[in-house]
Amino acid sequence: MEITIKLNGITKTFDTHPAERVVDLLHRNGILSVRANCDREGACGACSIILDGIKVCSCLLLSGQVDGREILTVEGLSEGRELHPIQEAFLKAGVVQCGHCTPGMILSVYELLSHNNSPSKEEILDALSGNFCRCTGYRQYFDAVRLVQKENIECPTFRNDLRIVGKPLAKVDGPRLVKGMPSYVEDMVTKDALVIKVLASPHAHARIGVINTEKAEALEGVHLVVTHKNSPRDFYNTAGQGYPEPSPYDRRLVDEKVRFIGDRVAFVAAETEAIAEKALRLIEVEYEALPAVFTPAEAAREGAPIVHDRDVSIDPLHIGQDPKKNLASCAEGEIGDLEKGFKEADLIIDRTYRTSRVQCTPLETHRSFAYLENDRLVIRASTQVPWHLRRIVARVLGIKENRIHVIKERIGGGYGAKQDIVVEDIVAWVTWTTGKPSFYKMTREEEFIQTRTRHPMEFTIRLGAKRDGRLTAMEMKEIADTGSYGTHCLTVPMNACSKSLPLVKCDNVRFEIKVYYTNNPVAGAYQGYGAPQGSFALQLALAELARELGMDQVELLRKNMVEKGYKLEILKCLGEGQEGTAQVISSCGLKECLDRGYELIRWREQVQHSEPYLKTGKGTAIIQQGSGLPGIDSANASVKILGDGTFMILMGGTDLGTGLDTLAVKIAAETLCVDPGDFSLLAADTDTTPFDVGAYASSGTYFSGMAVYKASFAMREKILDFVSALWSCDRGTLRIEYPGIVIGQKGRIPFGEIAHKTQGGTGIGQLITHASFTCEEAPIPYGAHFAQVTVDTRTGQLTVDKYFALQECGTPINPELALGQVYGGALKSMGHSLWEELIVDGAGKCTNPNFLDYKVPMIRDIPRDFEAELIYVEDPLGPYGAKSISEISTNGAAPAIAAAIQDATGVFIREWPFTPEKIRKALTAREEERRKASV
Amino acid sequence: MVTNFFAPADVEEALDLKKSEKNSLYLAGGTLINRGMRKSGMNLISLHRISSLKNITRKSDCLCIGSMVTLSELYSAPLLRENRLDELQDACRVISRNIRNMSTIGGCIAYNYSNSDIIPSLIATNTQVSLIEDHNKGLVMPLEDYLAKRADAYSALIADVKIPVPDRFTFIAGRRFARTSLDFPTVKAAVGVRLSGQITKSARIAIGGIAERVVRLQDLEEFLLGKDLTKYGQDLKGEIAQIIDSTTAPKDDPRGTASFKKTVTLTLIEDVLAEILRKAGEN
Repeated sequence: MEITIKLNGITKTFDTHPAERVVDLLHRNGILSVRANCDREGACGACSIILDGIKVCSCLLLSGQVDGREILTVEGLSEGRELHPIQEAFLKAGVVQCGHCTPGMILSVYELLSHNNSPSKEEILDALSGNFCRCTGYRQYFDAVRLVQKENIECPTFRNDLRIVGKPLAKVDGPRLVKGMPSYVEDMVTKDALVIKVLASPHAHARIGVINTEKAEALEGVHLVVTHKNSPRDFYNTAGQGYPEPSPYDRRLVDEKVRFIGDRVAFVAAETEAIAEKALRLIEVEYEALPAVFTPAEAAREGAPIVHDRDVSIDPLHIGQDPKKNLASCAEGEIGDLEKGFKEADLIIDRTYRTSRVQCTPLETHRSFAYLENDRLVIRASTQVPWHLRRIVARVLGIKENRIHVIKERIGGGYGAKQDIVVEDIVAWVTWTTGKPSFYKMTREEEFIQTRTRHPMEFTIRLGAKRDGRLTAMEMKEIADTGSYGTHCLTVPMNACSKSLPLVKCDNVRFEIKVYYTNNPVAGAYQGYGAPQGSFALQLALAELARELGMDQVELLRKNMVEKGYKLEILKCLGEGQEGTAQVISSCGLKECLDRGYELIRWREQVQHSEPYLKTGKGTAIIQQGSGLPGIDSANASVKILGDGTFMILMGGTDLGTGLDTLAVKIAAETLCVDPGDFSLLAADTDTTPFDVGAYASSGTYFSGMAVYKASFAMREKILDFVSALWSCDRGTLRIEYPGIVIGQKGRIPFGEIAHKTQGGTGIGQLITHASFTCEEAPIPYGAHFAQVTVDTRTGQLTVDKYFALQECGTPINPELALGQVYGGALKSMGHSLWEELIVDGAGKCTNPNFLDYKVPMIRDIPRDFEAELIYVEDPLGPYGAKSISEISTNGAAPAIAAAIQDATGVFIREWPFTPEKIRKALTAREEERRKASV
Repeated sequence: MVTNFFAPADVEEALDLKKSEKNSLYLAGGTLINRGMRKSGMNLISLHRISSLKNITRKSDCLCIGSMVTLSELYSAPLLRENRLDELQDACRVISRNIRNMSTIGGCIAYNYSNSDIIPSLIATNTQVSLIEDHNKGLVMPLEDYLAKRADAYSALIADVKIPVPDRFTFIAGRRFARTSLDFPTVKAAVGVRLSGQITKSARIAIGGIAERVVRLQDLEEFLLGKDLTKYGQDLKGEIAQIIDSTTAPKDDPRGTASFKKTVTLTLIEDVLAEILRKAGEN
């Protein structure tokens, strides 16, 4: 059928089918800002359009419904290189992170301001209520709306001694994102690409008996069907970690055994999605169902079904694995004398805490596009780890790395999910085998089930303390469920210890970790990387200890928390598959963060309600993370001067929306005394930029940032060397000043002239510098989060009234983006504390793989009073004193909210999420106990 | 999969299409139907071009709301609050602005979803629904009667709903309990009560989320007759809890267990009755 639409001001006719969704129609016709990301539920708002002046979800509209009507998308908001005031405000407010939700958000603000010149906070909340943003925590959108209205919004600045670092600057990749220009993998796909669909296992544990693909292969338009029969036999791991990986090589591209509901049985590459789906239905499979295990306790039982029966000698590192006992990894370590510590204690508490399976839910589901170019494989990827991806895919394909070119596109949300090679191995195999371009895009349901979740964990914490609150002994026993494959199975659980135990001073500490395979969906990396779970357990145990001692929670933390100069002996035992190094804390803002939060939340003030069933309480938690992995991570960068004295940065570092590209430009501009606009940047391209481990372990600011700093500093030195030779003067008499001028006794020479002289026929050649960065120690960021909650004790319904996140990251290089990281991390962790849980039933089936049943926080779920502050501390290690900022933000909400619930109601909820039903149940149990006691 | 898509310009054309096209279905906003559409061979008759279904008017003692009025239009319509139907207005503020901008009152009724925000409010107000089955053949019936039958039992087109304007002794209030803002309610309670002083003269109590469809708690309505609502805390709560426990049978689902839903139902009714008393006090 044919329909006519006035699209962004121009009336056009389109061929369509009655069943075609408007989102697909628009995307097919080059409107890329409108995206289908929630399996057409109308739940995420990424497909928002303005239809006859009203904002709607185009994924819920059939093409016939828009015939004769007018549609506006962000592509129609501004012309050429100009930006609409809303787009400018978004960049200025720092709300553009991954950018995948940005076009929808912009249209929401556009619709709001079209009808309302001066919206209230409630009206802004309502306007943005249909747009899911996983990155930002929503808080700065209020600033963006105010900025459009020409209101003055103050962004904090730091380091008055610096020109650019510590001051706000619009993201360097921002304009393309706010304009909805081609930026993501999906935008690069050519029309001739084969579409890939995966046949998922309906069994939690089964051997594939007979699999017949003849009918599927015979279907016209099908180019390849892959099963275990024609899959490569090599085993590998999907974890994008530095080689040798502390993860087992336990999976094939397609195996003859399936280990969870959703595991790969086969995949099809066909000319259209419909043909690929039809082909999947034509594959005949006979499964030999096997008994399965769904909890670590079941997995550990003598005689339990074995998930992996395999040769561990191929694993790169020994991580305590014993697959015949379903043990994926284990570790233990101790400093001091634990038993002596407990003997010295006046009080010992022993508690158990549990965390559930939480999904990363990037707005952009996993997707990848591959094609051949000059007989090399090019992979356009939404990945946090381009170089690890290349290495892993080379292993799967059995080819050398030089035959593969990985181009990292803008990532529509990663958070750890895209640290794994979940789809790229498939597109690589299809294209390498068929010679044709191929594209695989996961549905939202596949994203929920087949990608990676937080590891569900159980902690048994034993604390010993003196009457005055000083800790004498700490023991942390941890059991984790890695699911059916062991990606990150040692490092995530170890991080639960290594980012929680070193927060407090204690001479006698022991930890023990056991990680089991089960037939559940696969666990892996997620922002915080185990630290949120460990932090929840240990910080809440400390809150319980304070309660038992009759001490104020803050007082107990003040008494025990670490400070600058303290030597963290425990880190010796907490290396990632290798021996660690004790580290002296280079800077620590815990005291400042705790003091500021104490003041903001009015810690001592009690809140009373006229309704007796409403109870309000306050809680806090101190937090830390790392800044990459000393001795393991590495980063590289190059800087070259161009003909007019501007520069090009080639950086290996991967910006996953966090602002790393902007950080690199600012560091280089600061170092070379020029404007940020004098830099262009190429990053995360395995052909053109140097190696970097990738974006994980909070390494970007410190590792990639230091590589850029060193390369820029080397360029500075090279420029001075050249001028010194040119003027035959002592190098010490020269200096560089803004804007890119060398000044000496012989006068002034701008960078442009230097470039001209070096690059001419008699010059020394283009000035190019390269630097790599490795280290033996990394700065640790610290913080304190405070929550005030109100509980309706009749239903257990909980409201977070106030949430204050106080964090230090040394020098915040991008303050507005750093704040966005804090808000985003805090809200993600409020999500997993209060609402989110990927529910897997007793038979291994995920029962809520969609946004309506898996509850991610939307803007109307944020705390009424939600503020983040960056506390400055001076640190000697990082670029201009910077530390990491992002992951740490996810560590505070669970323990702070749990402590606040206890303060409000008197009950400790020791398992997240703290659902109303769980709270109500705990309150009922306590009432019952009291009733029995009184009888 | 949709085979054919029609967009009639008026009701007559829509009725003709319904007659002539097999496997045809009226399409309103599409937020519910399009979301789950998997059925093949469907012919859709979209009502979005029919302007006569988009009116909100007051006729004598009731408000007539065209079936294609969106929840956003209803939410911003001054007529509702002016006619003491603020509960219905609040109920229209569902889930998200995007959805509210698309979702229509007729679509919500036809979909007959138990976890609806709107349907309990309409039942509590004793809403009637106007159906057109054929040219010149109309039918007006209580909404709950319409909903009690299977939705596809009617080939009729919903023309409008007729909401009685409450007199000054009648008060309507509602409460929802949901997991997060982006959710249908786990339980939604809406109550319409006619009072004489603080004594209940009549009551309509509709609850969503605790059965396959929105249900009326008629035993509870009868129990409340002649009761002084100010006595809720002292005398009535225990008995109301017993009635809810014995007359409802919710099921476990990802939103909550059956017993929790009963707890929530009781709490919502407690809050709604308190709200009604507050309104009565202001009157």
